[in-house]
Amino acid sequence: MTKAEYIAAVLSALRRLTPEERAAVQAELDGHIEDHMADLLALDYPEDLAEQRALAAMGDPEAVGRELEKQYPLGWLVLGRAAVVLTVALSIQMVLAVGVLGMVLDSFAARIYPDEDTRLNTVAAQERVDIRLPVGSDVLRIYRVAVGQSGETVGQWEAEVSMCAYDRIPGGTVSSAIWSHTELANPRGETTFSGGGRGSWWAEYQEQYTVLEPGDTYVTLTYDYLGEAHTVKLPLPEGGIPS
Amino acid sequence: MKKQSIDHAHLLVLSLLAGEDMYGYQMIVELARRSDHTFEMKEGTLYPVLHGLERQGLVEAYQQEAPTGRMRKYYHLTRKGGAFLKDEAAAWQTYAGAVNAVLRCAPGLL
Repeated sequence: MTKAEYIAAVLSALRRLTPEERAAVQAELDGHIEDHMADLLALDYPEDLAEQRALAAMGDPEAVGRELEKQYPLGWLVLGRAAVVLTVALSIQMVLAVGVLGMVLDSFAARIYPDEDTRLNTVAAQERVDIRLPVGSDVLRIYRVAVGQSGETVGQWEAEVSMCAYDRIPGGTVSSAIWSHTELANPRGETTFSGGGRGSWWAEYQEQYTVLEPGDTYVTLTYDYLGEAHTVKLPLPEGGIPS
Repeated sequence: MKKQSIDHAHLLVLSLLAGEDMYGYQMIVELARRSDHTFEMKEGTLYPVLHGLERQGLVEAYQQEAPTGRMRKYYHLTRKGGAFLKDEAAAWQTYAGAVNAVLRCAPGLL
């Protein structure tokens, strides 16, 4: 039997050990046999004989393996693996919790201090408003009216109305379909020509635009869906569009 | 002197480690030296004893590089192991004292 065969025979009995524990046992036994062989070689033993003497001194490898195995009860392995699974599960849960927490914060931010965004390149005037319309189980909030130019058409003035929506119950989910039934029109009844939105399950945001002409003083926002209708006339901020 | 198998290997191992940290083969050599080669122990059976003691928290292990460059696993007696050794040694002394007392009463033995 060689040293490698001896160690392999010990390891074959170790079924409950983790790969790391098996590697540690292998290294420890290998080191022990090497140390013993080194002592024998120092006494001028031939290498073959030194190996045989060292292995004989180690004893029956299967018995050594069996006794080692007893020191690693199955419970430890199960406990160790369960701890790994639990740690991973808790980590995932924490990541999800942080994500959910962030989204719930979205819901509160929409109520208190909504997110700011604009597509206008230049804002000539803007005004903060706080108009909240009950829409089904949600609330549609208009919080900013601005006048400026987006630059898409040179010299064209636009009104930008910033809105958000949230569920009436804090933390409840909101429907993004709310924007499909919302329209912004200028005084001539020309409706929204573009819009931009973003959001999460807990808060939806959208900016809607309509073209303005000199002298326009207001825009109109309408919501109409399933028999529920709102019309809000929004004065444009002074000093925005040339009269 | 006739060689004896070891029935209290854990006690002897803990005693060895009470003096200094040791690796497995060093313990075998030191045990043979201290017992004047009285104890006969299959060297491989030392490791189940050591790993069991480690599991119980009576010893702890660490790696240290040998002069040959190979990493060796050294064992260190913990505070818990020291207390355990003290209790076990006292129990052994009591046991050995009782055996000696009986032997002393046997005519012609001592």
